[in-house]
Amino acid sequence: MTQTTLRLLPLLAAALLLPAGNPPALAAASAAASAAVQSPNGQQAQAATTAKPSDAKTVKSTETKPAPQFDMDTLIERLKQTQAIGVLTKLVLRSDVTDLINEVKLYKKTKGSTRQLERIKAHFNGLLLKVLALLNDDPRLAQDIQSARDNLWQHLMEVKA
Amino acid sequence: MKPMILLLGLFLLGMTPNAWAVTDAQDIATTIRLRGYECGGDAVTNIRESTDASGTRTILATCPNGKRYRIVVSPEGRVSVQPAR
Repeated sequence: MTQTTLRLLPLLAAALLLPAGNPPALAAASAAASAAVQSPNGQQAQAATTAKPSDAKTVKSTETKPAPQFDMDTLIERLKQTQAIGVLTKLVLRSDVTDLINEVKLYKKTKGSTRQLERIKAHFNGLLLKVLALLNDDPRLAQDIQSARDNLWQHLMEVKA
Repeated sequence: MKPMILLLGLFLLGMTPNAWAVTDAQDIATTIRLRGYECGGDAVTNIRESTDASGTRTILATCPNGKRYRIVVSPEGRVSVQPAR
């Protein structure tokens, strides 16, 4: 067996494994996630409008699906496992999350002002933007985090002082 | 024949490393940029690493723009970046 054949086999296997309708679904998901990374302020609808006409059918079918259940632990585990972000970078992000949690704790402890809450929200958005940008090579995870944005904020606000 | 190709393909897929896995050089460059320093590229070079008795890890690396940085990882996992001389 030649080297070229060996290289082609995984691709062939992948092609065989994927159901017929899946490649456009993957392309649409990837396009939506890329758009989410570029404009993470909840403008996913634009991704659907910029998707290729051939993907329109798939995009429509995903729109009708109910939103996936939010599972914080799974999301954290996927972030830990992703190879799109290096170990050092993950440590930096963890430090930033810890700082954010401490900010929330302080806000709750001191019954802080609306301005302080706005600052926390800005930090949260900035951190999310960083994570989404770093997940350029793992668009599915980026999309799931983007979808869970509101839940993540609520989760953060539930932190006890 | 088809199932055999499939099995062989799956076996090879398992052996193939992820194409998008981040290298150490890229990871360090990203860390430097996340801490607000210019790096001028996606990957650093000339990486030197050491760990002291307390468990603090120090990494020295050179960015594509020629600037050298010291990345310190505390035993608690806190990461700080300083320009090195």
